[in-house]
Amino acid sequence: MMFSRASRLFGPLGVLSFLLPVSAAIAQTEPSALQWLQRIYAATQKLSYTGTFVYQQGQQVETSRIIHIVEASGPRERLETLDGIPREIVRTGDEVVCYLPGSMTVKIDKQPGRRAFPEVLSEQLRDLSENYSLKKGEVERVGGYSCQVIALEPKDRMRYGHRLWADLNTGMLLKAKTFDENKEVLEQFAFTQLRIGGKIGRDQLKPRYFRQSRDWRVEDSGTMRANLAEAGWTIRSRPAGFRTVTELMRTMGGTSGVGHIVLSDGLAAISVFIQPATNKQPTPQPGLARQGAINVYVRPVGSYWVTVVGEAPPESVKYIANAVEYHR
Amino acid sequence: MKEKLSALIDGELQSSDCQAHLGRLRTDTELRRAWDAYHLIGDALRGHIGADLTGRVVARLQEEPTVLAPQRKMTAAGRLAWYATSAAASVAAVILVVLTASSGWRAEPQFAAGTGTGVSGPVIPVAADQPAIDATPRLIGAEVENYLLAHQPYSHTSAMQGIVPYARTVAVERRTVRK
Repeated sequence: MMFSRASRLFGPLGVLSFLLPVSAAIAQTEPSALQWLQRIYAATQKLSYTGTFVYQQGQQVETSRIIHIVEASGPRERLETLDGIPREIVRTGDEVVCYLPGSMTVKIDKQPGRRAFPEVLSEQLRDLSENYSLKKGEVERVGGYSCQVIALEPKDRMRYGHRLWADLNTGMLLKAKTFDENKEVLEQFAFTQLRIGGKIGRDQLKPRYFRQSRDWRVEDSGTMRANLAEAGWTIRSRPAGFRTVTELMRTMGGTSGVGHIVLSDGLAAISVFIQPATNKQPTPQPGLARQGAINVYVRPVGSYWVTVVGEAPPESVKYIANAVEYHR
Repeated sequence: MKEKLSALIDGELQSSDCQAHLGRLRTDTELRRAWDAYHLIGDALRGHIGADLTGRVVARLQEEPTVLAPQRKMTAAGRLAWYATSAAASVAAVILVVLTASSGWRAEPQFAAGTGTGVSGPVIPVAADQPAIDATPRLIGAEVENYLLAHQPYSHTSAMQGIVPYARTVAVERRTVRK
């Protein structure tokens, strides 16, 4: 019911109402934090834009340029790095192609059986509001746009906190910070320059390395839906609120038959990779690694390596890795 | 003089010393510059600087791309940071924080940490009270990259920001290549 009211709000009149001075009547119809999240998700599906953003974790800052065009078939986008080693990532529908001139490799990945956006969204928001407390913050400026701040506080220590800045007019997410339990910033994305709407030539989506990459090595993940439970793999227990979203089988780094289970709490996602130990692969060392908000935990299970990757605290990632079991 | 300055910032100076030092700060411009720099380092370590600086960072990136090249030289900070749980390692991290905060400060504040030696590296991403880290990477970079690429479409940030979070994988490639 809340969502149907929300959808009316997000029409043109709803957008206008944010711009009017706040009166008692309008205050009642102002979108809640949850409705703001819905606006953010919807914006990536509806808006075309070009811009420059930075990704920062620790002292490392990476600048990239993005072109995002929404066509009848859905969004198409291209990301290109602006400093250091060039790299391009192009997404068309369910397919992501990475051009890596540094290693002269093209990596192709598909998301098979991705469900329709609105259906996934309502499920996600329901899970999310069970695992996080949502609060609306102030209005702050980012990249020249006035943005609504939305804070997502985790309800336990098994997930990180987030702060989001969404454009008042369009709902587009302009900045996102992830915090650990001590409120230290783990990583952030922020647009420094952005143009929403206007005419964006489709040629801007064309990869710069398209021609050159014909001679490059191509790694196709060949991802398929799979039933890993049937194959004997189960996750005995998991941190509260994390559900299995999908189960896949893919090729990774030349090893085929790598199982991939995705868990989510409505916001944070955790991937479990199950890789058969092979002679050609260097033996991974068990342990924990991290980058920004991503933690990685590796553990051997029989003749397999279980690698858990997620934007969740080390405790969560380890918990899940230790709960992975094989029964034949 | 500068050791006293860090003591002052840490609140470890006797009050008489404190007065004298504050007086010197008023007149000595170099000392004042060091004061600013130390606070900036402290803020960086606590994660208090970030997007608000990015405009300036980006502007500088565009102006002087070559000057920035050393930033991407493989420092320990650039590698995946590894936790070690031993108390000894925690102590080491605290010492490294102190070293970072009291070492010389000549480069532009935003980039000095990146251009430094490995010493300043492993400390930056982790606050001193968190589990300390072992700078030895144990996963092959390319392997991590594959996992990250495969994971990225399911990341919540992908649903909110489309392709933007793939910038994470760039950070990993940078390390792999520079190693």
